[in-house]
Amino acid sequence: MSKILVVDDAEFMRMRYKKLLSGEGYEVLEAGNGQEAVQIYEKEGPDLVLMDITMPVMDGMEALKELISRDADARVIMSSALGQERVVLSAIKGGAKDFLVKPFKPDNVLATVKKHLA
Amino acid sequence: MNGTEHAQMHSMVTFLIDEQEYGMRTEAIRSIIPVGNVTYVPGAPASVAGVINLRGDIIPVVELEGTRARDLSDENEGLALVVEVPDEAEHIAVALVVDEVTHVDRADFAKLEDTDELMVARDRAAAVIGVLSREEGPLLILEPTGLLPEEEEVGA
Amino acid sequence: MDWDAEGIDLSAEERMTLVTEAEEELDRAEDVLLQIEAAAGNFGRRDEDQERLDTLFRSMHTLKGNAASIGWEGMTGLAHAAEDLMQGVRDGEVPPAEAVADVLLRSVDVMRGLTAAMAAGKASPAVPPALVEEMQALSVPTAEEYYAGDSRSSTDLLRQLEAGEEDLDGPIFEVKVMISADTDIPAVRALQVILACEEEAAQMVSDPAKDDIDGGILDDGGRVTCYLAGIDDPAMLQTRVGDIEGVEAVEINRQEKGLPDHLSEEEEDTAEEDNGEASDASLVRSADARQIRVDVALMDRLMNQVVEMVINRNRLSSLIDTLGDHGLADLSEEMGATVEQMAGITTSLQEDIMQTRLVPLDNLFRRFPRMMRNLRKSSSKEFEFTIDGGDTEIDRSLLDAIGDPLIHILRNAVDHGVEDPAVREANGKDPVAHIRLSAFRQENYIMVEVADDGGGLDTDAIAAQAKERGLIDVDSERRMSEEDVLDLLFTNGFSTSEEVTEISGRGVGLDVVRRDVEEVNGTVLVENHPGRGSAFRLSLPLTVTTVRSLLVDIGSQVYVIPLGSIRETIRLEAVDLHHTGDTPMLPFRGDYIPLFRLEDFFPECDRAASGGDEGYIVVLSMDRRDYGLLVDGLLGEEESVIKPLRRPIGNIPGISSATIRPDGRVALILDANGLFKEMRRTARRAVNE
Repeated sequence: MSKILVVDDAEFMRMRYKKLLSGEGYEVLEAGNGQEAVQIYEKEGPDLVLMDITMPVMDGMEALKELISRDADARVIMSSALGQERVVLSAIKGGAKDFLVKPFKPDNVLATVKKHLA
Repeated sequence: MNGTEHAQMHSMVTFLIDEQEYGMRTEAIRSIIPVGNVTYVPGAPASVAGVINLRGDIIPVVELEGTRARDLSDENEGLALVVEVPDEAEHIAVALVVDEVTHVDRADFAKLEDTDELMVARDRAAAVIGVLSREEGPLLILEPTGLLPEEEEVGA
Repeated sequence: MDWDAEGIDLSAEERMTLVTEAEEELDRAEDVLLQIEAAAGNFGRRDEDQERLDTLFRSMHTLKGNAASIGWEGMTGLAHAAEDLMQGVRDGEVPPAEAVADVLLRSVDVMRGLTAAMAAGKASPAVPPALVEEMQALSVPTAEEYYAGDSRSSTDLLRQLEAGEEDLDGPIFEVKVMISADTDIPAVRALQVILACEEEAAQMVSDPAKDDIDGGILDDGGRVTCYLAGIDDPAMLQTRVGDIEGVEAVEINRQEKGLPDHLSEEEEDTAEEDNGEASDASLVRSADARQIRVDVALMDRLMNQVVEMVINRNRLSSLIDTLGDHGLADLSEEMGATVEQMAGITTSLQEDIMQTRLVPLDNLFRRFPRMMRNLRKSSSKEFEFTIDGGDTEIDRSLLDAIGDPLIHILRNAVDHGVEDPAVREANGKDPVAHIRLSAFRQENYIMVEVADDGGGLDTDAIAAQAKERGLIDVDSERRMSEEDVLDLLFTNGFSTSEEVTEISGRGVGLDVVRRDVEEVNGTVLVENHPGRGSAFRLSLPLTVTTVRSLLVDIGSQVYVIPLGSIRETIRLEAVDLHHTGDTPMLPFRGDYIPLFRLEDFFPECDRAASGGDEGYIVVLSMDRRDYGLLVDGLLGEEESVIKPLRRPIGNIPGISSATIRPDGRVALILDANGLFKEMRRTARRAVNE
């Protein structure tokens, strides 16, 4: 079973992701900011990371850099909101494998996750 | 009152205070405890004999309005019913001092009569909600809410 | 699952999380907005301001994200507009002016309404469209950034590739891709295509070039063309590129051989620099990630268990003493040492748990700037409001308890404390008054003070009003000190709804404030400086669960006196009392202080009486004065566990709470302040009768 780390400062979003993904049989880990994400990544070695961009403490971009510097093959999917095009661009340049645009579309999330875990 | 009304059967604990028999709904009574070591509280309402420690909670010991005051400062002097009194959001436990618990009975509360004709002051205590006539003498029915004395206004 | 009036499908837990998170974000946003407003145009110049703007932006972002994910439309629209406006402010495109803060504050109010409706599972109230429009008008429209890469011919690209350094074996492939205009952020999809090609090829050039993609929009109808050299597996290339979301058509053509050019810039360098920075930052911030959330109910249970342990520890210690009496001195000593050690552990466990219950007062204080702002707008008064010491920590149960009292006192400060600007000016004062809410720790107490620089309290007017209300008569007024008069403010029946204005609320007087504060074993004190202002000071216990205390014997019953209120203990036979008036006076530190017995405070009862003229005097200090209390004996000190006295004996002045003694009996905890005040009230009553 694949492990997915969901990183979002909004507990509510994590809850929604978790419901969706664990419903598909994935094991879901959660982190509330980039720093936690890095720690959990090192400890648990998830197969995929779904990461929000805008977060306190350490935002998604910083966390992405940290993750990629630790594991160049890290599979990180950034989740962004409308209006964050430039940030997403630099995330992709910075090693993110893909991105999702909020609002949360369950089919989209699952399709993207499956594609990268294939 | 007449016998054609619907019966309201309640299980009831009956007990004696100053040789008068009283009854209270069983579900209002949490336990029956020996009561003693009561700490006197200066400034408390007259019907409060003091406070005791009941498994870590401090609960007031109350005497039925108009009944004789007892000295309960020594160990296990008397007997009390721990009664749950509804008060706003929560229940307050109070220990009601009694002389003797007589039995557990069932009674029809639809047959309750007013106590107006009775002359004795204690029988008109706030907690008394009515009287049941029986062969062996009147049984006064108590309701927990009447056991809480009105709080005195501070500084009034 | 339940479907609410919005048609939104949420479990109860999800709903609670959604609502709680929204409330938190709204609180946070409001806090920053009030700071912006208070700074009146000077906001945004400092680093911490920038951080605050980031916070505000994030709050709106989270609100929008959460709302959008469940199709909660009213909230999404409003939060989105607010987020756009905030983005402009954060990026320095929109000045953080008062107008911006104002419209955002109004939006926060509307969002609170939406959140409340969501919490109740009701339909959202309508969002005023004007509000959204107002925010949009203030926002600078985000300039649509088209990427401006030169459209290069295939020849140019090939030449570029050929100009590269490495020798190229094998063919060159041309990859032509169309990106759908409907996909999310087409430019990023284009970038993904380019990156995939880059990974598959030894060398590559593209149109648009990687570095030319810097906005969200792709021109040239979504066409991306790449030339690749050094491909191992063309089929793999096809799959990878084809798999990218939004890629509509992939065309891969084999080309003639060409020469290379050097490709891409050195992003790695900058990346490394950033990395260094990030890890510094993560060191600094690592504390945050080490915190966990704990259910308040669990904390309360833990605390209760520790409290039971403390009681048992005290019981054990007293049992061990009796072992010695039974001739088991050795055993007693050994057990005593063990219990001593256990006592130490219990104490530190208790302290640690107590620590976890502490929260900064800011959690409460942050409600007030908003309230004061509204009061300022709705009254004729002009004042500044400042908060100091919000980081002072306090037990969370106290935080709840002092909220309403503080609201009341702050409202009073606006309503009765500060004067109209014209009056202030006439008196040579700054027309803008100052109201200050401050908190600090003083020994074992937390002091929370509301001070204003208004006209002070008019003791004559207070006395007159008390007479009018029948609280005092002319005789007793004559006997009253200034302090006594001020104390009347807290008397039940002093304030009535007639003289209460809209601001101070209805029918609730300072008597309720005092009752609420005393309920948590705190005291309220008022300080008056006629013409210069007044201050209401709450002094609150540091902990709500235990208190260091002296046990005394009065009339064969044990009473507990908190050490915090004791100045000294004196043997009765060692002093020379003065019997001039009704009350014996005790010489103490160059002064004479009154000496009372407990029965003086509770005249109707004889069971509180002390035995005789032997015994001790405990000198208690109340507010600013001392008095002596006669006791029959001193029984030693202990850490007493505070147990509340509930109805029907809740509010006896002078008795704050109770504790359980090692023998299982209850002992009452005396409140020195309350006793003294009650005594004076009793004395006044006696004179009146």
